[in-house]
Amino acid sequence: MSKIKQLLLLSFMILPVFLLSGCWDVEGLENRELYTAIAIDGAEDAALEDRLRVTVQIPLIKNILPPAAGAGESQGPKFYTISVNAKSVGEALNMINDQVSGVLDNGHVKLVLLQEDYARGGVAQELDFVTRIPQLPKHANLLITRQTGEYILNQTSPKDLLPSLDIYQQLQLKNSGRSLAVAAWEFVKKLDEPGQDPYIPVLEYNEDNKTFELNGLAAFRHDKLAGILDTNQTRFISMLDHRRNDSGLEIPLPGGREAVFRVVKASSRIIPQNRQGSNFLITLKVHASISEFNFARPKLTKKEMERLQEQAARFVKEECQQVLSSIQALHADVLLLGLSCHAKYGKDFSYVDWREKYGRADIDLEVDFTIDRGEAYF
Amino acid sequence: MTFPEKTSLRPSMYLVLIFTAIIGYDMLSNPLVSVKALGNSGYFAPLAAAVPVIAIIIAMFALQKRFPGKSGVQCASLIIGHVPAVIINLLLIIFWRVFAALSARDIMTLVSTQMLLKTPLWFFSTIGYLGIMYLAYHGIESISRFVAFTFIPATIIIIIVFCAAFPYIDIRQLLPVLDFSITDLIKGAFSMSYLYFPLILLFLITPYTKKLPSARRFTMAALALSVLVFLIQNICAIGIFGTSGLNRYTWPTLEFAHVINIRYIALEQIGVVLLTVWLVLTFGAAAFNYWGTALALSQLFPKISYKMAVLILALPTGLVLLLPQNIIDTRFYLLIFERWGVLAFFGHPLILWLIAVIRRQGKES
Repeated sequence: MSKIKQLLLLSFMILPVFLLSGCWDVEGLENRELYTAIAIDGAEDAALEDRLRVTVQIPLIKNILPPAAGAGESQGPKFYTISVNAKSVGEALNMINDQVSGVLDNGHVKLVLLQEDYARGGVAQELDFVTRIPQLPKHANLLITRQTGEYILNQTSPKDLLPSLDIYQQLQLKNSGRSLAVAAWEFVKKLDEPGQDPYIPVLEYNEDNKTFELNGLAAFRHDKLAGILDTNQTRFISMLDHRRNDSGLEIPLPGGREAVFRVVKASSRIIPQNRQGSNFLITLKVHASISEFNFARPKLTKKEMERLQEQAARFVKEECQQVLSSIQALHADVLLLGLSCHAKYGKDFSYVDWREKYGRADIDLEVDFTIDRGEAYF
Repeated sequence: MTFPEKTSLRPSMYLVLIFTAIIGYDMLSNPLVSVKALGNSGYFAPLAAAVPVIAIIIAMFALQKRFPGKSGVQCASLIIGHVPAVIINLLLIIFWRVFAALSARDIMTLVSTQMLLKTPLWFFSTIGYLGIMYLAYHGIESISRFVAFTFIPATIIIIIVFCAAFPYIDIRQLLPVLDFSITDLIKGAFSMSYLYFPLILLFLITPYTKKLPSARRFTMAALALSVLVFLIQNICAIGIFGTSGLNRYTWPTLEFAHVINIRYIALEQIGVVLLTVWLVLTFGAAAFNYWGTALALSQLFPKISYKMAVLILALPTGLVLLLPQNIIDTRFYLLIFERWGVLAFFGHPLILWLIAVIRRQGKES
């Protein structure tokens, strides 16, 4: 090949490098409006055609970055919010994009908040955008808010963190302390599958302490909010649903005494007893470490230990049965008993009228409680 | 070089080339087809589809044994006569080129949705195809060197990404394991057989080695490795999203890679890593396919040189690539090819081999 041909070929190969880098039309960070949380509330006037009130929280990047050398920490606001009324979330995002000076960036959403009253009417349509925007992180957490999402996103965090990041951090670090983190993809997936019902954490702003509090779980019947489980019930849901549980467990003992456990690990197995899905057996194995006895008994004998394990197992069983009754009364199959039945019996099991059948199903529970260890010898 | 008398392939290159050709196309969306056929047991579909492929591979190598140094196109002329061979092979080449171009278009749409959001699709498709043509123009040696370079890291990364998705699987979504009838299984195998269509390229590369038994073993290994990748991929997609849930996504494999959340490490966006690595394999597969059709065309019409064939195919390929309006159009046309391609791609070598055996043609007669 002649040198001229080689040079021509080289120039032809170099040219696309400038065009194909993917950055030719990229918006710089300073031109992007990254929003970290989106709240979906019902419009105050339900008769309005624009039935949704959508709020986004946009951090002010220059005020949240750590102070650079020579520059003091910024004292300005850490974020601002924009709220609009619209018929759909997509329309709302377009309207917000028109109102901000930069380009609205979907790639950093950490939280999607759904207002409690609004969620009772169904949220499947409102969450369609979660899977249609490829840049939206699959791990954005969904939450039900007791107050309006707009109100919550306008509150400040006592830690001087961006509020959405504060809530996200709580969800990630204190899984099942008072609530359980649920990613958007997980929720949406359950809406698609027959007979599967999702749950998501409940968020509340405590006006006295000025803190964001995760308080329990919202159980759904398909896409409609069916009821709220309190923080105590959340701990037992986490045991029944294989979730991590760092919140510990307090077992009341006869005579007003109490044993406190930490690092509670549980594994459960749902065993359907028939193809109609009318009878189930759940076996639950709990492993825990002793944290404290509130009575002067530093060392336990083997027999006392066995009795303690039995008492703990009985307590866990009673609590779990109460939780199971609550979710059955809501006709919300959040533990996916229907899926377990399908897994065992395949096409012989039918999802027709499943939620009704599930509400009437007999669920037996076997609990095995093992005390693993304690820093002090038992 | 593109002529077996001037170049040769090591048997291990059959593993690399065939694996790249199979995995390079449609790796990210095949669970959509498998669950349609077999529901929650969809992971059996790629496995079942691979069984008849073993017979095809054996038939192709048996033909090479009978007609040493001859490609499938040349064998056809010797077995069924020049005129019928020209007609059948020409139809096959057209069918094959359109299928490969539509598959490439599917992948270009993916790039447009996930990576180059604002760049016009026609622009990067054209540039990409010029690159593929450039690689194909320099023959099988350039292609094999390229795929040999990318094969090991790409395969390792793909398998690691799939394995990283295991913790997100709900095993109940994969059960019961054998929840299908034999008819369902046959349907599943039939609908997933398109994954192995690129094996038709074997027809053109068998003359490039004299160590046929060894090359056959490596080809079988490529098939086994591909089946393993498809199997893990289907288990992850169904186990994570469920049979109905994964229908929400255009590319479920990419979506389950997005689900992987490894905190505090640099590679939080593991989906992008998978996509980047897989696109390298796709580039190699597309070049290999292009080389195959161009070589077949030049062997069918000896007056057309190989390099001329590369240029002749450029315009029709470009047109087919840019013709569909969107992913729905692309998948609609692809479905037609996926359904009828079994006859063309798998029936052709089997029938040729059978005729050769019955008529006792070739070396063993």
